[in-house]
Amino acid sequence: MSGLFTSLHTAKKGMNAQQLSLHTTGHNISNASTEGYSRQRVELKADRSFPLSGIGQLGTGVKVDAVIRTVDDFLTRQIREENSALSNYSTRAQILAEVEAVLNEPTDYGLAFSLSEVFGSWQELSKNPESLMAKTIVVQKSTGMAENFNGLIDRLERIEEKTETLIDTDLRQINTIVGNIESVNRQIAKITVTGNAPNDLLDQRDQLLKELSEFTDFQSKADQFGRANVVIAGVEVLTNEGEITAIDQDMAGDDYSRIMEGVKGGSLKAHLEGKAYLQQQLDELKGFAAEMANRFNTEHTDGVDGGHDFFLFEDGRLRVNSDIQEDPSLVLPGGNYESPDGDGTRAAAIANLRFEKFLDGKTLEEKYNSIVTGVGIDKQVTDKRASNQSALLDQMNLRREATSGVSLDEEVANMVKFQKSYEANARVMAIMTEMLDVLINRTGV
Amino acid sequence: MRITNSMIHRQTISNMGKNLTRLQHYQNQISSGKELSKPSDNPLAFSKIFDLHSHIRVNEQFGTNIRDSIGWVDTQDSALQNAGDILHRVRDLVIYGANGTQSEADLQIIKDEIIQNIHGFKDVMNTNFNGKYVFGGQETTKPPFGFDGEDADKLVYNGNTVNLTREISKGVSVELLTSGAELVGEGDDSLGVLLSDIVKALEDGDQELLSGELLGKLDKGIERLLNGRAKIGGISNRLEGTEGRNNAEHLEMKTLLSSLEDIDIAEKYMEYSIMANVYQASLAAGAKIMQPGLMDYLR
Repeated sequence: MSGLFTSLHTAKKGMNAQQLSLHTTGHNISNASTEGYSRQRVELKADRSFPLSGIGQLGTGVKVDAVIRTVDDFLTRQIREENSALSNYSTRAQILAEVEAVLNEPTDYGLAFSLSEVFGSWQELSKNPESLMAKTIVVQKSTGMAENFNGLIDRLERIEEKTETLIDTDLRQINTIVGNIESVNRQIAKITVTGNAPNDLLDQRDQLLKELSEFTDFQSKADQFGRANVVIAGVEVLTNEGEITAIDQDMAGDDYSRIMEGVKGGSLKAHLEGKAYLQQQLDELKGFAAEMANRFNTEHTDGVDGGHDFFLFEDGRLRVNSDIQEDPSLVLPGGNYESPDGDGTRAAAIANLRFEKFLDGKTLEEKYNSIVTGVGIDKQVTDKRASNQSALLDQMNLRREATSGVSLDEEVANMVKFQKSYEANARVMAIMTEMLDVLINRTGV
Repeated sequence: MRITNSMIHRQTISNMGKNLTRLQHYQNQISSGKELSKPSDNPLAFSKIFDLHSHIRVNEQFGTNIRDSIGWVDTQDSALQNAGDILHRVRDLVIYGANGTQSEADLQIIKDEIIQNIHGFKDVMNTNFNGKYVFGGQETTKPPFGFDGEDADKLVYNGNTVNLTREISKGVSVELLTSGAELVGEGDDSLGVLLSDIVKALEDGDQELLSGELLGKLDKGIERLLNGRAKIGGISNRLEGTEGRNNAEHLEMKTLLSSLEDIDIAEKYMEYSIMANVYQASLAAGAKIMQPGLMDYLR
C-alpha cells in the first residue's frame, strides 16, 4: 500500500536522479574538448514496483542504474591500428623529404650540374692541352664535384645517425607509455572489482593506447578486471597481470630482434625502414662514386709510365689525388707526359666517359638521375599513402566523434530537460508537503 | 549520423588546411615559375627534365667546341690564302728569273726577293690561334716552321704529322688539318727543299733547271697547298653545317624543356584564383557555422 511518505520518497529519488544527470551533463560539458573523452550518460531505470493486490503494480519512482560511457570498442581498436599505419607513412615521408632535400635537384648547385662541369672542363682541356690554366680548371671543377658529393654523403649519414637515435627514442617512449598503461590498469582493476565502471580511467587508458600506436603497432586485450595487455610483434611486453618487460637489447631470448623485425607500424617501423633505406642510398651513391673514380683513373693512367690516379675514393669519400691538387700539371691530357703539347686525346677520351654506359648499362648522369628519380617516386608514393591513410583516419575519428563526442547543443538541451524534471519533482514534493500539512495540521482538530 | 560541435570544428580546420596547402602549391609554382620544385612533385617529368638539362649542357659544350673549331679553321684559311699569294709571287719570280735576258745582277735581286718571300711564307705558316700554332700537328707550342741550321734558306718543318681532332657532337669528331707536312710535303719532296733549290739555281744561273723541273715542282707545291686549303674549306663547311644542327637541336630541347618545366602563367593564375576563392569561402562558412549554438537562443 502506498503512503504519502512513499510518494515523498519517490519525488526525492526523482530529484536525485535529475541532479545526477545534470551533474553528468556538467561533466560532459567541461570535458567537451578533452582529447579521448567519451561522453557519459546516467542510465535511469524505473525502480522495483510495488504490488497492490487486485490493482496491479505500483511504480516507486526512478532508480539510477549506472553512469555509462558511450564508446565503440571495435572502432577504438580500428583507430589505433590505422593510426600506427599513418604514423609509419608520415614518418617515412618525413625521412624521404629530408633525403630529397639533400639531393637538391633540379638546381644548378646539385651533383648533376657539377658532374657536367667536370666533363666540360675535360672537354676544354682536350682543346687546350698545352694550357696549365685548363688543367687547373679541371682540378678545380673535379675538386668541387668531389666536395659536392662528399657533402651529400655527409648529410645523408647525418640523417642516418639521427634516424638511429630516433629508434632509441621510440623504444624509450614505448617503454614509458607501457609503464603508464600498467599503472592505469591497476587503478581500473581496483574499481572494477567493486562492480563499478571506471569510465574516465578507461578513457585515459584508451588514450594511452592511442599514443602508443603512434610508435608501434600492437595487440591489446582486456581481462575480466579491465586490465589491458600489450603485445608487440608477438612479444607480450605487458601482461594482464601487470608484468612489464622493457624493450631493450637485454630482453630474454630473441625477443628484441623479434620486435625489431616483426614490428609493422608506427614511427618505430618507419625509423627502422628509414635507416635501411638510407643505408641503401648511401651504398648506391658510394658505389656510383667508386665506379666513377675507377673509370677516370683507368682512363687517366692507362699505358702511362709513372701515371697518377686522378681520383681517390677512400672511406666513402671522393677526392682528387692530392699530388695532382698540388701540381695541376700532372693532369695528363695526352698519350703520356712526353707527348706533344697539343695532344689532347686522353682528355677527349675522359670527356667522352660522359657517354659511356659503365654503371649497370647507364651513363653517370643517367645513373644519378635514376637514383634521384627513385627517391622522388618513393616520396610521392609515401606521400599519397600518408594522405590516403590520413583521410581514412579522419573518417574514423569522425565516426568515433559521432558516437562518443560531446555535442554542446545536446548537452544544453539535456540540461533544460533535467532542470525541468528536477523542478517538476520538487513540485511533486511540495504538493506532498501540502497534503501532509492538510493531514497533520487540519484534519480532525 | 550524430553531429557534434567538435566534428564541425575538426572538419572545418582540416578542410581549410587542405585548401591552404593547395593554395600554397600554386603560389609556389607561380613565384618560382616552375612546374615542379622537387623530384616527388612529378618523378616522371623530373626524370625527363633532368635528362634534358644534361643533354642541353652537352649540346652547349659541343656548340663551344664547334665555334672554337670554326675560329681555328678560319685562321688557317686566311693564313693559307696569304701563303698561296706568296707562292704565286715566287712562281712569277721564277719565271722572271728563267728568262734568258736577265743579267746576273737582276738574278741576284730576284733571288733576294725570293728569300724574303721564303721568310714571309715561314711567318705565315707559323700563324697562331689563341697562342697555338695552327700548322704544327700536335706541336702547338713550338713554331712549326724554321730554317735549317746549316742552310739558312732551307725551310724545315718541326711539327708532327698528327692532326688535331675536335668533338663536335656525341661520338662525332672532326679532324682539323693541322699537320704542316701535309701542306708543304715531306723530305726531298718538300716545299722547303724546293725553295732552297730555286735559290741555288738562281745563284748558279741555271735557268734551264728553273724553267723546267723546278717550275713544275713549284706548280705541284702550289697545287698541294691549294688542295689543303680546299680541304680546310670543306672542314669549315662541315663545321658550319654542324653548328646549324647544333643550334636547331638546342632550340628544340629548350622548347621541350620549357614545355615540361615552365608553368603557363595565365592558367596557373586562374587555378590560383579559383583556389583562393574556395579558401575564402571555406573561411567564411567556417566562421558562420562554428559560431552559433543552442546557448545563443536560451535565456
